[in-house]
Amino acid sequence: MKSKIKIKNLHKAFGSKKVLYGVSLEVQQAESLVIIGPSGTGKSVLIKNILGLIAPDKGEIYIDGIETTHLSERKREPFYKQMGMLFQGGALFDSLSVWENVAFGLMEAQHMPIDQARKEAEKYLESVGLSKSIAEQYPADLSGGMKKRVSLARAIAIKPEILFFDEPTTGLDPVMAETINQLIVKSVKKLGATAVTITHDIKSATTIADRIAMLYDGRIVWEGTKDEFLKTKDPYIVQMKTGATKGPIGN
Amino acid sequence: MKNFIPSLGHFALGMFETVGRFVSFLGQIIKASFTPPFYPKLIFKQFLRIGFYSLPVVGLTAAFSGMVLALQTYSGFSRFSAEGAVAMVVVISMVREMGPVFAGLMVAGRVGAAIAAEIGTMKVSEQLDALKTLSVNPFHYLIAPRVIASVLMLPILVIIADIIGVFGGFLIAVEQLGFNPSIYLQKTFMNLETLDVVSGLVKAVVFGFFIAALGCYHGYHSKGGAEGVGTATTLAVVSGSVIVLLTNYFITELFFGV
Ligand SMILES: Nc1ncnc2c1ncn2[C@@H]1O[C@H](COP(=O)(O)OP(=O)(O)O)[C@@H](O)[C@H]1O
Ligand SMILES: [Mg+2]
Repeated sequence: MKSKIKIKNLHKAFGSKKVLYGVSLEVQQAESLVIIGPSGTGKSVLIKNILGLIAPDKGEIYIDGIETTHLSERKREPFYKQMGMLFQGGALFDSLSVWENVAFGLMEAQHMPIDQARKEAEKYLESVGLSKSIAEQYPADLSGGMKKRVSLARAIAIKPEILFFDEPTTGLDPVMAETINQLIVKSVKKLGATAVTITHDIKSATTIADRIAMLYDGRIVWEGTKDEFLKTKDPYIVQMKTGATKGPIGN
Repeated sequence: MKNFIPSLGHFALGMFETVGRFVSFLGQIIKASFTPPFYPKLIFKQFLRIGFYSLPVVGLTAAFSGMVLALQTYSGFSRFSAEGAVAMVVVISMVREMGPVFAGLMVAGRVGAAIAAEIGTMKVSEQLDALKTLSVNPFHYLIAPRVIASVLMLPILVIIADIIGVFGGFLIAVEQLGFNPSIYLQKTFMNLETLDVVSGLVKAVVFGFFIAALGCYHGYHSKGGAEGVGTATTLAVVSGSVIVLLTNYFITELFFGV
């Protein structure tokens, strides 16, 4: 097994507010890791550090064994090219139509001709269960579930080696959530990609994950395979699963 | 008094930090404007938004300021029987000061606000992050086109404002104050020097740069949802207007100071 992402002792604070202190984590090639944890613990901050969108205060991040912690914008570009991200709110470009959103990376970064990029975009829209007919619409006209799907299509269209999903099912109805879960599993498998998913939806976690890690209080408090996750008596995981108000996760 | 000095220190540090951050932001803008990739289509789109759609409001303010300038100069100068200076005062004030400043202020309101709101919305909805993960640099793709378009369009807007303003003054002088049209026009052109026009255009370029840069800066650093975008918009307009008036003074000093 080859380690695709490796994080060592990561620290990040915003002003006096410490968000991450001492996160260490490893993700193997073609593995699907799910990070769970209550809202506001820094799950999004963690993956933005991996992506290089936020600079950590301390610690190291390695991708494919190469340290990327403090790379300049220019040197980071090859790493961006192999990473795709589905943002929490979709982050679709309001000013572009659906197909332009999906084809954005292909046209702007890979300089694919417009006709070909449009065909590719339509193919990816179809693969996430959306019809060509919405290609000309704008993000503002779409429902929450459709936005997530377009966003997923945009993330996978650049054929990344690593995919990040930030709360892909939050705010969706259970049926749509399950559809998105299935799409994620299918797309990751098809690409042979390494995946890191953030969620606090346990159903979603067990559908997507090979391995699960729990982030709480700035650290990874539990880590294990999906089977271990289902069996464990660890108080953090038990409380996360049951949603009990009593336990180690306080307010 | 005990708390005063540390808090003053904090204020000063914060100030330096903000200024430093802004200066480094300007550096990034300049670098992105002169290095590839370039996005001519996006620059053209901004030409329309910044230049063309600002025409009505810039034209209107210029017309009325030219008109009021003629009225006031006449009412003031006639006390010394110096009515003959109206044409000169109107054209020089318009071309050196009022054309650039009013166009600058109008654009700071219209364009500065629009840029800050647009980029701010993209920031808080993570669209800026999305751009980066798709290997597109926001400074090249979003910011440089806006700043370039603004720098190129403001001189054109100012020239149009000058012409409309002078014409507004001319209309009032001829229609209301009874000046002879051909003598008024002759005096207008006789008194206008290249340096007047050049100083106005230099102002326009500087205003254009700072208005767009401030709009981008406040948008880019906005945080915390709709409220943050609102704050960014306000800051863009206020700081843009202040910098127009401030740099206007210094450029005037540079060109005409003694
Ligand atoms: N850019 C930022 N500036 C200041 N504080 C931030 C920033 N990003 C995140 N935070 C703070 O860090 C904490 C963790 O946020 P986040 O990672 O979004 O949590 P979650 O686990 O729900 O994804 C929150 O308290 C949030 O307010
Ligand atoms: Mg989050």
